[in-house]
Amino acid sequence: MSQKELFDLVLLLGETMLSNGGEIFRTNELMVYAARQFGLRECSVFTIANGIFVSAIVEGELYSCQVRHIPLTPIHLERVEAMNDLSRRIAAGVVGPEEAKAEVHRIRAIKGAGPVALTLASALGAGGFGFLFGGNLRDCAMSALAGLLLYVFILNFCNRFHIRKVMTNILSSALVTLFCCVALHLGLGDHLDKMIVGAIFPLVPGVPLTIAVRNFMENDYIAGLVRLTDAVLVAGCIAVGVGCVITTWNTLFGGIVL
Amino acid sequence: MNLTHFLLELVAAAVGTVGFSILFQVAPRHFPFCGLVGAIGWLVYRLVQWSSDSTPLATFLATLVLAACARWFSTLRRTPTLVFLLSGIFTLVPGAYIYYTAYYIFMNQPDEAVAQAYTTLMFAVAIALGILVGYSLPARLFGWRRNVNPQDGNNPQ
Repeated sequence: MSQKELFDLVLLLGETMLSNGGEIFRTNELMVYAARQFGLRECSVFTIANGIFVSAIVEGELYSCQVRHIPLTPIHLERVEAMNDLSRRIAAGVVGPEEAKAEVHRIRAIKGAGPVALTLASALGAGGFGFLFGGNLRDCAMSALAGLLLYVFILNFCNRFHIRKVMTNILSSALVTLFCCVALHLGLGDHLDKMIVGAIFPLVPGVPLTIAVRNFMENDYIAGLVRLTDAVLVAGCIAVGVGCVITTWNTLFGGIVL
Repeated sequence: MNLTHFLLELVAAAVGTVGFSILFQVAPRHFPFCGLVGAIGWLVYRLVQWSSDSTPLATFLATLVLAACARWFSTLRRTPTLVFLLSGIFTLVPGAYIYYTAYYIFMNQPDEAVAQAYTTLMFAVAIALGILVGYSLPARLFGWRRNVNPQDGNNPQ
C-alpha cells in the first residue's frame, strides 16, 4: 500500500469513529496510533465535533494535509464499539494496513436495528419515560403510541423526503402533541403534560448535551460548542412544535389545563 | 407513593433505557446492562430525593453513581463507557423541564418560564458535575489496571 493510500486509510478510520459518535480524544488517539503503526511520519490530528484536519509526511519530505467535513449524524454505538476494538488491535500491532482497511469497510457496513425495531424502541422509550415522569398507566400507553407514531413519521416521511433536521424536529413534535391533545380530548389519557413529555423524549437532546459537557471537560471547547449549539437548537425546535400546537388547540377548542 | 409503584418505576426506567439504547444502535448483547444502568440511576435519584428533598443534589449523586457504574460495566464488558453512559443518562436528562419552559413561554407566563429555564440549567450543571466527578474517580477502582497489558491490547475507558 502506498503512503498516500495509508494516509487516506488513517483519515477513513478517524472519520468512521467520529461520524458514528466516538469521542474526540478517542478519534485522535486512533488516528495517531494508526499512523505510527503504519509508518506515516509526523502525523498530527486536529478534531472537532464535525470535522477532522490531519497532516503527515507523505512520500518524501513534503507535508500533506487533508481536511474532511463530517456532518453530525445519528449515533451508532455498535460501530463505535467495533472501531474501538479495531483501534486497540492496531495500537497493539496485530493488525496491518490491508486488514485494517478490510475491517473498517466491514464496520461501516454494519446495519444495526432496522426501521421496525427503531419504531418499537421509540415506543418503549416514550412509554417508559411517560410513566417515570408521573403519568398513570393510561398516559403511559398513550405516550408509547405517540412514540410509535413519532418514529413512523420520521422514518417514513421526513427521511424519505429529505426534510431538514430543524423542520423534522418541529413537525414531529407538533404531530405527537396533536396526537396527545386528541387522546386527552377523547378521554384516552388523563394528563396532557405527562403524555407529551414521554412522547417527545426520543427527540430530546440528552446525548448531545452530555457529549458537549464531556468535551468541555476535556478542553475541547470548539467541539463542545458545536454539540451544545446543536442541543439548544433541537430543544428550541421541540418547544416551537409543542407550543404551536398547544396554543392553537387551546384557541380553537379550549380546555387545556396543565 | 408505595413500594409497588416504586418498583414499577424502576422497571419503566430499565425498559425506557433499553428503548433508547436500541435507538443508539447498541449491540443487543449489552441491553441487560444498559437497562440495569438506567434503573440504578433512577433508584439513586429517587432515594436521595426522598431523604434530602433536593432534586439537583439527587441528580448530581445519581449521575455520579451512573458514571461510576458505566465505567465499571465497561471494564466488565470490554466496551467503551459511552455505550452505557449515553443510554443511562436519559433517565436524568431534564426533558420535562425543557417542555415546561416551552409551555409557559407559549402560554405567555414569562415568570414561570424563567423559573423552569433556571431549573433546566441547574439540572444540566448537576449532570455535568456528576459526570466530571464520576470520570475523575481513580481508574484502578474499576479494575482498569489488570487490563493494561499492551500485548493484550485491552484499554477500556
